[in-house]
Amino acid sequence: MTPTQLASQPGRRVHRLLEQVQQIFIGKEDVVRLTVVALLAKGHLLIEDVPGIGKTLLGVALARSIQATFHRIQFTSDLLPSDILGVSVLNQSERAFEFRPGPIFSHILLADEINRSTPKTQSALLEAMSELQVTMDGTTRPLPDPFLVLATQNPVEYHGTYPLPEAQLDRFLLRVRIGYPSPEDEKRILQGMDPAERVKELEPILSLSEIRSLQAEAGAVRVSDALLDYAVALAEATRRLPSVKLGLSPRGSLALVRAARAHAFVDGRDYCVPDDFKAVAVPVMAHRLLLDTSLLGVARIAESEGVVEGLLKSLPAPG
Amino acid sequence: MKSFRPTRTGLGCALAGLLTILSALSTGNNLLYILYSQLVALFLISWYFGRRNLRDVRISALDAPGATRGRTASYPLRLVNHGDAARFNLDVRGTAVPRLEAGSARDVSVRLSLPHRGLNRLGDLAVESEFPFALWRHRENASAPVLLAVPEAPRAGLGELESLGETRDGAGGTTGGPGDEFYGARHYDSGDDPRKVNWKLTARTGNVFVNEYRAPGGGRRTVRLAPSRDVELAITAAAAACRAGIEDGAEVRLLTPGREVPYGRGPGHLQKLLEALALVGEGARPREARTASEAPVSAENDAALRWVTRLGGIWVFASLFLIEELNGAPLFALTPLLLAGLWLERRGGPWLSKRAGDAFSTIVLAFGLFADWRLAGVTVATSHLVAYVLLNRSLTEPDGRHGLTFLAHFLAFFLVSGQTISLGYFVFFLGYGAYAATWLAFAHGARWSDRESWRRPVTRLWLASLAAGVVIFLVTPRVEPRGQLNPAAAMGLDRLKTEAPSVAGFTENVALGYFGTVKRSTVKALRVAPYPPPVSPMPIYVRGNAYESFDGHSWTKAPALFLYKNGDRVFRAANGRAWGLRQGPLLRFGPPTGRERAYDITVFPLNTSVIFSVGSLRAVQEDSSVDAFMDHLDSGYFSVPYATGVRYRAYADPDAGAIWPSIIDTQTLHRRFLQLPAGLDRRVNALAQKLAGKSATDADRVWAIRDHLREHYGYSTFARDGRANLEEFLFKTKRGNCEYFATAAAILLRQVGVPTRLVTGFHVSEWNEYGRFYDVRQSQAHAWTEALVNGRWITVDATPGDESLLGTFGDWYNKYVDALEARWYSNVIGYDRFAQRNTFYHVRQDLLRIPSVDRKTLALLAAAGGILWFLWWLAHRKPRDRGLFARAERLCERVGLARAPHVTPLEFARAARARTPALAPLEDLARLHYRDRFGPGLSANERARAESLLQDIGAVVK
Repeated sequence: MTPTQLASQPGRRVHRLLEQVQQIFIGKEDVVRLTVVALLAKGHLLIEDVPGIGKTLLGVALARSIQATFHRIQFTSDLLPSDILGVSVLNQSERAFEFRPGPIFSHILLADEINRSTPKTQSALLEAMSELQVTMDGTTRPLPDPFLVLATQNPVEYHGTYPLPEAQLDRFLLRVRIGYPSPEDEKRILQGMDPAERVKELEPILSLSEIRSLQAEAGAVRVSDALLDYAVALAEATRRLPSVKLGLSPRGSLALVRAARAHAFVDGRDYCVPDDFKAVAVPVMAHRLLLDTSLLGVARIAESEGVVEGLLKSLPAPG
Repeated sequence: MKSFRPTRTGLGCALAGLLTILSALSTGNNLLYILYSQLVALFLISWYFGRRNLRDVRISALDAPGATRGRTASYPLRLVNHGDAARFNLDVRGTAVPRLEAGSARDVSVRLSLPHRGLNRLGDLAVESEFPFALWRHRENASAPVLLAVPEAPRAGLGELESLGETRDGAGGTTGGPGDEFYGARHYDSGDDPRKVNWKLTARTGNVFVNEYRAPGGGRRTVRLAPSRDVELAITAAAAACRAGIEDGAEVRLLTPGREVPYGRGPGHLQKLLEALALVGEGARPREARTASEAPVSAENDAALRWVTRLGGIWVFASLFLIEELNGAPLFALTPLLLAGLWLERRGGPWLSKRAGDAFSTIVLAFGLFADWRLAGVTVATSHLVAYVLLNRSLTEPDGRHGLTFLAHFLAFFLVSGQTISLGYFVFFLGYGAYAATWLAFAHGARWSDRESWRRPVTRLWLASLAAGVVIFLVTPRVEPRGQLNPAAAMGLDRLKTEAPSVAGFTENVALGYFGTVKRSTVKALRVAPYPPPVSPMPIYVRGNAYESFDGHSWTKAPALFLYKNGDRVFRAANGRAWGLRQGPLLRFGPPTGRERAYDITVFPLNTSVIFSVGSLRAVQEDSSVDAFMDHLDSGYFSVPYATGVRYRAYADPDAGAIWPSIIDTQTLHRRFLQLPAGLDRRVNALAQKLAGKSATDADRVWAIRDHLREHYGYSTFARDGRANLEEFLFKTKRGNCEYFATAAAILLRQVGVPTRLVTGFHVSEWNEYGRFYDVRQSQAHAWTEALVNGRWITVDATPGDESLLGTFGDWYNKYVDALEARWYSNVIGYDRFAQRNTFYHVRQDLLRIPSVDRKTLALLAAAGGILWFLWWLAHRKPRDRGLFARAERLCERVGLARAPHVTPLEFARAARARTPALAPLEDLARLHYRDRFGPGLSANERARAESLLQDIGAVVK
């Protein structure tokens, strides 16, 4: 990153946020960056990976760095919508129903193994995610702003699970795979203090109101016509591929541009470049494609990512 | 490696070109030269731009699972256009790519069967293209793709496997096969147990899935490739062992000399194992592979091609109207049949059946051979046949032989080119060129549906071939037409050399309005070389026939009896002929006057015996001993007509002077020159008296009448008013051709007592500087009046210039069409070897006189420069410079670093830095370039910094 790019004040603060979270979440700079991209683009993040690689840590570290509240829900097959959204209980003393907000009323929500619960519960969460409000007993309650869902899906064990169908996956702006840390990074993790302890000592870098203004600024990043053409060409290409049953929807192309804007902003620029689109193309597009394949699990994810990567290598980039 | 060969269409066009140039050489017909130039230009342009079209197109293999050796499979290949302009109509083994943008890539898949295990280099897999006009097939295989073929993996029995070097590691079940551990879900196959259907997955995806269960573990196996004498056999055995292991559900590991593939299971892993085996030993070295070639692209745009062909047929048919000998009415009557062809095309039939068409053709052919040729002459009969062929091709059911139809169209147009000289030809020529270019574009696989992609380049290249055609037309050396007894001449293509009734020129029959609308012919009639040549050539009157007797419609000469003196003796002229007296090589008609000048005159075939001269003829020198005589009108004649042309030297007094002084009894002839037609309108006399009223002398009367005619009457070669007689000309239409003016002047002068006669000949202004002679064309045939004033005959030319009396639009239009036609005739049709030499000679002489260069030369040079510039621009056209980074990229290309189209500048910069750390400035430059192109732009400082970075890069590259 050159000094010129960090000249702007918001750019510097975002950079410090990234640095702080990366100190906790060692070795996965791109995942941290994409998480912040999702936050600034007002989107949500789907993490498809095995347990134990620090998803909770990521959520907590981010929440502490921006003074946000953080909740975690472990999805199980007997989880009910009210366990997420909240429930109205009768207050005996006041003889009235009183709403007890569920864990969804937080700024950052970690929905762990979302595919373990029934579709009914899943859709309760997904609807709240897209509408940014919860309606119960005829009362509409807005969710906190900013609101970021980090959902995880375990692609390895899918016996007795309800994997999210592609149409629902569309609600997530980005899908990432974290993967295991490299041996060096893993050693670094082991050498230092337990990250779970360190995260408690993190100082906030940005306030929530600052995040809100940054979100607005990220939405105003300039995208030139050539880049819009590139986005359209990418979307068009997915619709023509024989191996793809259903290509990228216009909502998908919108998401691509939104994510690219946020990515440029995280990079400290107020204009998009082709590299922004390439950086977010796989996380934005791969989970939105309906492949004509019988593969399941990780292989399916790898294949859809391969399709997008192939497109990036065949379409000429504006330069 | 680049190679090219002509296509079938190309060979056909080459033959057509040969036919055209042979006909042009034997007839000297310039429209055939035009057609030939166009064909040659099309060939050259097609070759050059076809070659460019494949420049910087690379073909490479994409990562794909290797297919089994010897079996046909689809392989994905990538075509990348590294050039700076789009490429068109590329073809890889029958897979067509209509357009490949600059810097973009397209994946195609070809079906191949690879002969070698391991890497196969496909040296014979090339990109081909017939762009733009399907005359050449260019081929480019600069980069032979390398593809991988895996060895066969036959199924082997369990017993054989142990001997094939397979060992089983660790514990676990020994076999795979059915068991109770979930192994995976797969698509339903018929025969699967319905109890195994995975209903959830089925419901979610819409496809039926079944669960597969295997025995736990499946075990672990290691396949070792044992060193063996027969490597191929050992590899096949190992492949079989791998396959057996994978199918048993085991985890299989492969050990080959120098490589290990770790444990894994599943079909994907089998592919990995087989690919590792493929690369053992010789397989790692790419081997040349010849692969069977697939059928070429089929013409799938039949419908569009049919339409274009039919429309072209109509256009060519319409061009038949240019042939003046053909009667337009029957042609016109046949036109609805052609349109019916189009209508049938829409409806899809019913067509004329093949048998009926053949029978009809036979009848027409027989009629043509046995009747039409004799009755109407070869020219017309051939045209009839061509018209029939066009109709036939239009009305019969399309048989897919569009090439044949196209050829018929060419032959028809070729015939038209040979048989017309009309200005309208140019329009038809352009139309035919557009049709041919479109047809050729379609014929090589351009599609109507994506016409937007090829329309512009094809149009541009067609224009380029037109421009190049002009140059070729100008410089193709013209030769004297050879031989009249060849097929081209027999078909009437040498019409320019023969007399045709539709073309007016010098004639011995002067009748008002005889010709109707006068069509000008540029046929060379004479060549007049004054000796010695004049210093400053002026227009001259070449005198031919003269007439004195007018009957109200036409002029004739009545034989006169007179006495004349030749030498010392007096003769009586019998039949009005005063014979010349031979003196040495000369035939003298009277004593020398001292003012005589010599003119070397060449007369091309003209059916006359007139001795042309400039001024009053005194003597003639002709090599054969033909006699010659003169009549009382000062016209000389040879005693026999010179149908095949003649050369002679005429001695004449250019100042027309007195009536031939040898005639003794001139007074008796005078009244002949005052004769008036019977029943002449009185208004004529009144007009003559009015015009001459105040004039004192005969000379004044002559000029008064001449000026009146010149100022108040208009020149026109169009006979819109029918064949007007003299009175109608004088009082009603007031426009006509030169014969009207000459007649009017003669009769008006006779009304006021001035003896006159009408003279026909040529009014010539075309001086050929190179040959030092006047070129006399039929179109310059003219008629004027001679008046006897004070005992001398003076020339009175009452015909105004073209510009007089341009009141109405019709006149204005006629004027410009006339002017255009005159240019067309003299510059295009009449561009023969003399005109060609003269043009180049004139330009050379003119350039030596810089700066006083002639306007004509300047125009010619400007036109030539424009054409060359256009061609140069086409060949060197560069798309818009993409700025700073593009310059840096060009620098990097020098050290072999090229940016692939899909790589962004920043990625490219990082890759370059990884390869050459000194290229680090490239990364900063990429960022600045981004700011310039996608961001707010660069400040002056940043721009300066970018320039300095660019210099750094330049230094590194050097």
